[in-house]
Amino acid sequence: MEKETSVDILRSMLAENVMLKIDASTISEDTPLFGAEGLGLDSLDALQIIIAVEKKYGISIGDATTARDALQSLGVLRDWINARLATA
Amino acid sequence: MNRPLTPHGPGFRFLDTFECLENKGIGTWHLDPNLWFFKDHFPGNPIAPAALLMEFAAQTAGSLWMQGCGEPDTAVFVASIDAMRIQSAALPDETLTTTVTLVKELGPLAQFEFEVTTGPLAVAKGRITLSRQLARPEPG
Repeated sequence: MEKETSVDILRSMLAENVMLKIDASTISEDTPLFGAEGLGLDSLDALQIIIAVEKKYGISIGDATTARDALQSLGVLRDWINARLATA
Repeated sequence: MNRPLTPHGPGFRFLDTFECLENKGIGTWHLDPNLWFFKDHFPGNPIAPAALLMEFAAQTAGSLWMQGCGEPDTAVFVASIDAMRIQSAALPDETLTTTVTLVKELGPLAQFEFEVTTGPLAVAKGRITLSRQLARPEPG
């Protein structure tokens, strides 16, 4: 199991698991994942990302509120995952 | 009269039996040679349509999810199909078995992995996401 993640790793994970409308390399760590001002991902995309995170890092995201908090952007997701890996 | 396994009407039920084993559901469907689609899919060369193999797996996944929730009469809807592979043709008079496994449930969505077999033969596999909500964006 991975001990730490990065925005680059998460960017690749995003590209592998959801249908992006833009080149993944242009996604910054602050780009919102949801909403018209961001990537415009939806709840199905969120579920795909959550399953990918669970498989790669063994961290469970068990409810929609936690998912909303953790999936704001790749930078937020990186910090959220690393905080849990550090205490695992 | 036996209670239907899904909320579908009789013309769109593709689940003859269902068994629930913790986070797995096992469904069977006998492909009666008189089923309505065999005549035209294809004339002289009948095979079960891939879309109905997917529907068979979806009905099994829905049964697993709703029976696990204690709501066996609740309708759920297909939200996405991913990584589906057809591995061999399903022919008249075969009995298909599908095993669906709950991968993750989050809010109104749940994702399942499925495999369809007939005897020792792999027929199809993939992932299905079901939703409690019917996707229907506002027009305009």
